[in-house]
Amino acid sequence: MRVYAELARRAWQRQRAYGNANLAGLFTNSFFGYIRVVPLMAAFASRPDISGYDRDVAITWNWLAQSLITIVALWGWWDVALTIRSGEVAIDLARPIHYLGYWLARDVGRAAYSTVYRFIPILAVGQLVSGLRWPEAPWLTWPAFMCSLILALFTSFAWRFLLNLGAFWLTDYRAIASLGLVATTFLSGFLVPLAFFPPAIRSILEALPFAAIIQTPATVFLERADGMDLALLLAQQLGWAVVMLGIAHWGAQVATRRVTVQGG
Amino acid sequence: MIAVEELRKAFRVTTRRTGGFSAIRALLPGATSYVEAVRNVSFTINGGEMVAVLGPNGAGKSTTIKMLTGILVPDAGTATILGLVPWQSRRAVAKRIGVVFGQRTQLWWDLPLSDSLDLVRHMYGVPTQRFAENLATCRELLELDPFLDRPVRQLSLGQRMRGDLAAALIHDPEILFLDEPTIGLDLVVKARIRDALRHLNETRGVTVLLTTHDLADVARLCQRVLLIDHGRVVHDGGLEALRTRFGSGCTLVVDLADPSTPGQAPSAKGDETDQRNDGPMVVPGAIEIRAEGNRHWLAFDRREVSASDLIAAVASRYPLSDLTLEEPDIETVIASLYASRTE
Amino acid sequence: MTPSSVFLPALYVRLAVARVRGQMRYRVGFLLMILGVFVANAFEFVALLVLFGQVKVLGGWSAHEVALLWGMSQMSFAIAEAFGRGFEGLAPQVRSGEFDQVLVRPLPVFFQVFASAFEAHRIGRFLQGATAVWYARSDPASIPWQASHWTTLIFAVTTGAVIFFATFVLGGAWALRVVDGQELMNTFTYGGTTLASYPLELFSDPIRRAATWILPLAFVNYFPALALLGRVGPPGMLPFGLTPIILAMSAPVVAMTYLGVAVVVWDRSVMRYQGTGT
Repeated sequence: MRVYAELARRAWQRQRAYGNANLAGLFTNSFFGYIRVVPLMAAFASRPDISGYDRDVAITWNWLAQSLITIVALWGWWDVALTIRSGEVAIDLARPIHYLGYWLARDVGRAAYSTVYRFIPILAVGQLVSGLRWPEAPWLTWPAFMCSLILALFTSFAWRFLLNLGAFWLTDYRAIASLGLVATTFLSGFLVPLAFFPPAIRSILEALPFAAIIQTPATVFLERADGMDLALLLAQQLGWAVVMLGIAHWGAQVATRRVTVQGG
Repeated sequence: MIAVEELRKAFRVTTRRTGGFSAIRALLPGATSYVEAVRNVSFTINGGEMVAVLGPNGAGKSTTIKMLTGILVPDAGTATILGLVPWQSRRAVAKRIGVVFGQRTQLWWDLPLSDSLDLVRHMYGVPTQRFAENLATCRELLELDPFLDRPVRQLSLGQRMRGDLAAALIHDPEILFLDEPTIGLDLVVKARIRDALRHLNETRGVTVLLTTHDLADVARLCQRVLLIDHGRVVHDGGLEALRTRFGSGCTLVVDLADPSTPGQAPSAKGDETDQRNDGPMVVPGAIEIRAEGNRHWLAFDRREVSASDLIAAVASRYPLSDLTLEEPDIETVIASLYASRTE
Repeated sequence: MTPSSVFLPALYVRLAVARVRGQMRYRVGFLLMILGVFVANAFEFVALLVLFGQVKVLGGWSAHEVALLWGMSQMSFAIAEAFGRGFEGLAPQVRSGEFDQVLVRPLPVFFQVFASAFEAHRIGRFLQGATAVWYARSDPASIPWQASHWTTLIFAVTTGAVIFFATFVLGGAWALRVVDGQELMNTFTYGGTTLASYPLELFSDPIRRAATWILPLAFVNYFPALALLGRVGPPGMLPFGLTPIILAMSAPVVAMTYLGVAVVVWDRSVMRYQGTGT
């Protein structure tokens, strides 16, 4: 376990080296948060309630989505694919540690950094710009949100990892995988809350693993589910995290067998 | 052809602040300082010369080359290339020189080498006839034919380097600036590139200025060496002269007749008997740097003690069976020069 | 020795063709890139339509009207991206020293960076923008368009492309000065298109002013769209009380002035780079 903690710590430190880029990124996220919140506020000028979201909930959802995406890294995370392309993967596989665990630990370190230096500051900006709706039952909501956040990270990590593995088989993996990630921003409820979709589409989207990446933690934070609903929501998210990590593990084994047999 | 006088260049460096939100902290004063990359460089190179610029990393070689090719503007001093000041007449100079950076390529990654060369031709406005002739020369000289139609991304380092050299020759440059042209290449490719450069120099009178860490490049190509260190020219002359000037450290290899004797000077203070007999040899003016059985290596500086005096001193103290004098090779001289820099 | 002079427009075409040919070597990848660019932007547009599925108007603008803004912004940006990517991708080249190659060639630095990256696959974004405009035109409530409307549209899209292109040039100038400032520039380029995709009157006063006078996004599509839709614009919000039609007609002047400023800043940045070597 020590080695994974150490890997996570290193990943955190690696992020620190990009301090300036992180600051610029924070500015970008805040700017996009503002651009997106304005039309949303305009939408509520004509209607006080959209699919059960009031103005404050929708605004908070907007800033949550902007800040969550920095943790679940739905934009450009190609670390694994780059090692596959460069052949470095052989070194990683030769290490006496679990391959998927190796990357998961690093991603946790990265995500922890993003939580402190992106997630929290963006929410602070949101509070300043438009005000946020903070949990009314903090003793239940915050712990539940923390669990949901970790599960969201695991689900998104597994999905990104799988997209990265595409580099083992496809020379054009980047185009396809980018498409996969962009689709995820849509399917996860990042661009627009899943609740705003027509009911039939909404129920399909909510059943997919992508909802676990943005929509579920946002729903928990906004206290849109409580009691049994909350438990079921988290259980579903846990289920997806386990299933997705399982698929990623299996994918890694298939892919690495290919490396060891064919030498990459 | 190239005249450089008292060229100076200092860089402002921002002390890197790491950690969260370093950008904010970097805005605070006191984070910058100046590094003098080139302090005072003067030299003249005549047409048809082949000159090597040597020096440890960070000595100011690249900065000097960048100023001579018009990439950087110096803080002080003058330089003229073919009668023009490169940073004032960048484009006019660029037309008449060829530049190759060994670590980077100017070729188009996705295109076949032949297409890249054709594009370079159009960028320099080389007439069709001239291009055909130059291409033919390059193909023969650099053996481009096997990979002329392959995309650059698929070329090996050696092939790519030859391609880059060809791209720098398409417009008949009068001067070639080469920044580490043989870095990372195998012996065969290195030899091929050296032959090509020598051929161009002999047949077309192309002046060549190259930086390198490979002394074989220098030995095969250049009659003249500019050694730059700490932003100054510390040597301007032949390679051999460099050795006589800086290579004063020699090694005397001594085989002792009786392996039990070292560690004690038998005659000096006769009654002192040293029980340890595996200690180093003690000779004034020399230091034992290595020992193996009864063979000992003694380093000394020729400026302080002559070889004959040292041999006499050793012979008077130790029973000898054999000895040889080793002069330093040029690599050792340069390496010790570079190493002294860090002290 | 006097090499024959180089005709830059012909050289640009030659370099652009070479680049597209290089990309076409991986035909599937190339088509996927076009598709990817199309779909990525389509998702954002669909998300907007989902929102409009819930509310019929956004600050007094219908879905079809916003779609026109959106489409114009995307088409302009697509053209600017296709021609201006050389300036956008400059930061890593400055960092690796590749930019020095540009300085040892006998051609203007601006031209070389401009000609270094023609990206044909940006047509994916252009097509997505065109789709949005087509959707905007399918509005039964809108007035029928005459030839003059279409001319205005083409004119506005081109003008908008110049404005975005100039922003890319400024971004390149920024990269020559600040090595890791890439992400900040994205705020102005990609953030700019996103901002221009919504009615400008929704945004707060400082943003609206900045988008009119500093980075003239309002001239990309907002004023021309007001004119095309026959809207008068919010009272008291248009500069100097001018009508949308006059503002739309002055867009080319604004765009050329902005481009001129960008080129001057670029030249100064190149000179500064040669002085400091970053």
